Order: sequence, then C-alpha cells, then structure tokens
Amino acid sequence: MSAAAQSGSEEPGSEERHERRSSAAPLAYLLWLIIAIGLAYGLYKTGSLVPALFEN
Amino acid sequence: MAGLSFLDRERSVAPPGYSRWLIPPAALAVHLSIGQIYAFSVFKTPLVERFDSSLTSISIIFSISIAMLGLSAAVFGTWVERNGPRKAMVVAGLCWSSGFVIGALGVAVEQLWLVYLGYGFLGGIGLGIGYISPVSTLIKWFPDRPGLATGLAIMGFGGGALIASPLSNQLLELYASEPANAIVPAFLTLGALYFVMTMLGAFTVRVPEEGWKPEGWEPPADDAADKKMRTRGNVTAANAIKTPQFWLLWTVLFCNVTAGIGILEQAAPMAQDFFSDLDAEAAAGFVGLLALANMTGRFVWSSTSDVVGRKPIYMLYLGAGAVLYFVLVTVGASSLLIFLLVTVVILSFYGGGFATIPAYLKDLFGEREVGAIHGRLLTAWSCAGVAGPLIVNALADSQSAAGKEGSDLYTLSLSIMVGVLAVGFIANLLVRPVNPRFQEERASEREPARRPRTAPAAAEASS
Repeated sequence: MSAAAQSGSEEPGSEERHERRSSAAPLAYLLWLIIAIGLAYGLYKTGSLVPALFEN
Repeated sequence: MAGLSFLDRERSVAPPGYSRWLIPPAALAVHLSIGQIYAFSVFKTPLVERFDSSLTSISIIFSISIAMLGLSAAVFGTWVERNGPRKAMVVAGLCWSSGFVIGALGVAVEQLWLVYLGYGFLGGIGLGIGYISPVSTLIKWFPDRPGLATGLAIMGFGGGALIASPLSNQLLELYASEPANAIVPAFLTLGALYFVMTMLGAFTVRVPEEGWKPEGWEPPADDAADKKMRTRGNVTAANAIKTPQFWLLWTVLFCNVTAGIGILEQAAPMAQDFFSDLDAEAAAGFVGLLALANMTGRFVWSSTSDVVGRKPIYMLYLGAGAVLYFVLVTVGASSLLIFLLVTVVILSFYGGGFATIPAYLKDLFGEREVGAIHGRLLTAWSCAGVAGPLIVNALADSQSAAGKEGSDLYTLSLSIMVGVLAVGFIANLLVRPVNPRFQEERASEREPARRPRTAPAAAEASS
C-alpha cells in the first residue's frame, strides 16, 4: 500500500488517474436528497395502507 | 471503444481523502431502480386486460426477469469485478431502461413476446448486473463494517418496490382512464426515470485505491479474525465454487429465500384465508407491512452481523425462522396480532438473509472477487424463486381440492418450510473456514508477515 493512500496525501502524478473530488461530491449529495425524498414518498404511501389492517 | 474509457475502473479511483459516505447513495440509486421488479404485480391486471391473456402468461414476464437476474449475475460476475462498478452500472442501467422501452413497444403493438424479450430477458440482465455491481466496491470501502454497507445497498432493492408500487399506480391513473391504456407511457416514464437514476449512480461511484483502509482501522488480529471466521486471504471465483463452503452457503441462501418468498408471493390471499374478515384494503396493508419488514430487516440484521458475526446471525434467521413458522402453523390463526408479529419477523429475516450474504462471502473468501462469487451464489435465488411459490401454491391448491379451507390450506406448506429452514440451519452449522490451499497467493503477500490467517485445524476439518 502506498504511504500516500494511507495518509491521504497527494502522490505525484496521481491527479492523472483520479477524477476531481469536486466532480462527484455534489452528485452524491444530490443523490442522497433524491433517495431520501423517494423513500419518504414510498414509506408514506405504503405506511398509509397499514392502518386499514388494524381497523378490521 | 477508446471513447468509453471514462467508464474504466482506473478512471473511477477515488482521490486521497475521499469520503466513503459518498459511495452508498450510488449503490442505493441502482438498487432502488432495479427493486422495481418487486412491484411488477401492479402491472399484472392491466397487462392481462391489454393482451386478453391468462394471468400465467403475464406472470412469465416476472419469472423470466428473476431467472435472468440469477443467470446474468453468475455469468457476468467476473466481468463486473474486472471492469469495475461504473461500467457495470452503466450497462445495468442501459439494459434495465431498454427493457422498459422494448416492453412498452411490445404492449403498443400487442406482441407479448416483445415484453418477454424486453422487460423479462434484457431487463433481467440489467437486474443481475445491477444487483452485484456495487457490492464488491462497498465491501472494499467498508472493510470494518461490510454488513452495514451491503445492508444499506441491498435495502434499496427492498425499498425499490416501496417507491415503485405507489408510483406505478399513480402513473397508470395519470395517463389514461383505463389502466390497460396507460401501460405504454407508464413504462416509458419509469424507463427514463431509472435511466437517469442509474447514470447518476454510475458517475458518483468511486473505487478506493489499492490497499486503502479507513483511517485508524486495522484488520482484526489473527485470533479475533479466526473467531469470526474472517480470512485475510483471497479465493478466486473459479476456486470458490470448488469449496464446500460455497455450496453450503448456496443451500443456506436457497432455504432462507424459499421460506420467505413462500409467504411474500401469497401474502394477500394468505392473510384473507387466515382471517376471513380481512377485506382487500386490509390485505393490501398487510402486503405493505411485509414490504417494510423486508426492507428494514436488510439494513438492521446485516448491520447487526458486523457485531455478532455472520454464522450466528444465520443461525438466528434459520433457527428462529423455523420456530416462527411452527408458531404460524400451530397458533397463527388464533390471533391477528400473533400472525402479524410472526410474519413481520420472518420477512425481516428473509431480507436480512439477502443483505448479509455478501459480507459472509467476504469473510470466507476475501474481498478480491467477492462480487463475482456473490453473482454465482445468486443462482440460489433463481431456484428459490421457483421452489418457494411452487410449494405454497401447489400445496394450497391440493389442500383446497381435498376440501380444506382457511388457514388449513397452508398447514402442510408451512410445515414443509419448517423443514426447509432446518436444512438451511444444518448447512450453516457445517460452515468452517476455507482451506488455505484455495487461496491465491499474491507476490506482495509472500513475505513472512503475510502468512495465511485461517486456522489450519478448522480449515483441514472443512476440506
């Protein structure tokens, strides 16, 4: 394992192999948001069916 | 294909200091998309009306998808491992979305075989590749908590139906007064939506640099690793299928899925047979409750396995599962509360079994080719997908023909499930560390400090 990989420091020339961190992070945060909204929608819609089960 | 080199594994290596918490949303995006398959039943009745065909002809679409899921995961597992998650996610997204488009075309021109080809065959390939694409990457990012990481992603597969089911219903209502006339635009909308989601996942995912590990984390010492059957060696996918451990885990997964899918597939009619005063709305509530249990179990139980170990957690899924099935057979019909509690826990074990298996494989075979090994193991899912519903449906039909009714329809099939889970329990009990002779030796591991970590005595006993 390279020392740079462990310590988090930049290796010479590594920028050629790595994509810029900034290009992925906003996408990931956007995805977290979309997923949270989607799951909230699914949980609300599915959860609203459950009370009918206990009304019988 | 040089233009597509941006999809290569080498181009998706994370820069130093990259947060590993940016990886799970990429995995979730793919799993939430392909998890739509569990909501396919929403389209069953409209498709029957559209094609004026039998329910069986329409059910074949789902069966082809699930069969292709297992087959493609097994066939393309090594390819996914070699090419990395980004290319795999792009291919999965293309197959899955194209499946919807070709399926929509089939519905538009009323050619059922096109729906088989599109949603079933092509979509099924997308399911298999998509399902395994993030697993290996997540395990490499979370070597300290592989159960949590894979539980989070595979929870998405359960959650996919939770979103797709109400969404598909809303789309069918939105596009036409008759659901049968709304299938084409609904399929196209879902195809476009899932294409965007999987591409967002593909371009977000990153693989860690070779040898990366979380800051401050050290692999467990030999003794601790041995206690939880965690190896430090790596077994190739080709070698893994030669080990008894692989086939024992195949049996474990097959038994766990067969038992769970038997209830899941028949949930609504089963609830109404057990409690005749339940109406359709209440039965739908029961299905929703099981979906929540299935999804939650994936995350909760898989994360728990990081603490208690993989073998003990499967003893719980299979052992306690068998006891719960027995409770269902004997006193399940006496109380709705008991029925609900028991089925909810059984379904949480079903989800947990899916989510924990990649971490179990990583413990036994190492992380190097865990995705490819996982792909081969998923053939157990395809087989269980046939066996589970067959046992429950065929036996319920035969019991009905014999004049039985209500919960008595399920006494025999649920009793068989107790036996199925007992077989899985024994298979899990027999799992021992993999014999080091199956491990590949890397040049970098040949120094004395990197000797095989597996307990020799236990390993010999297993071979």
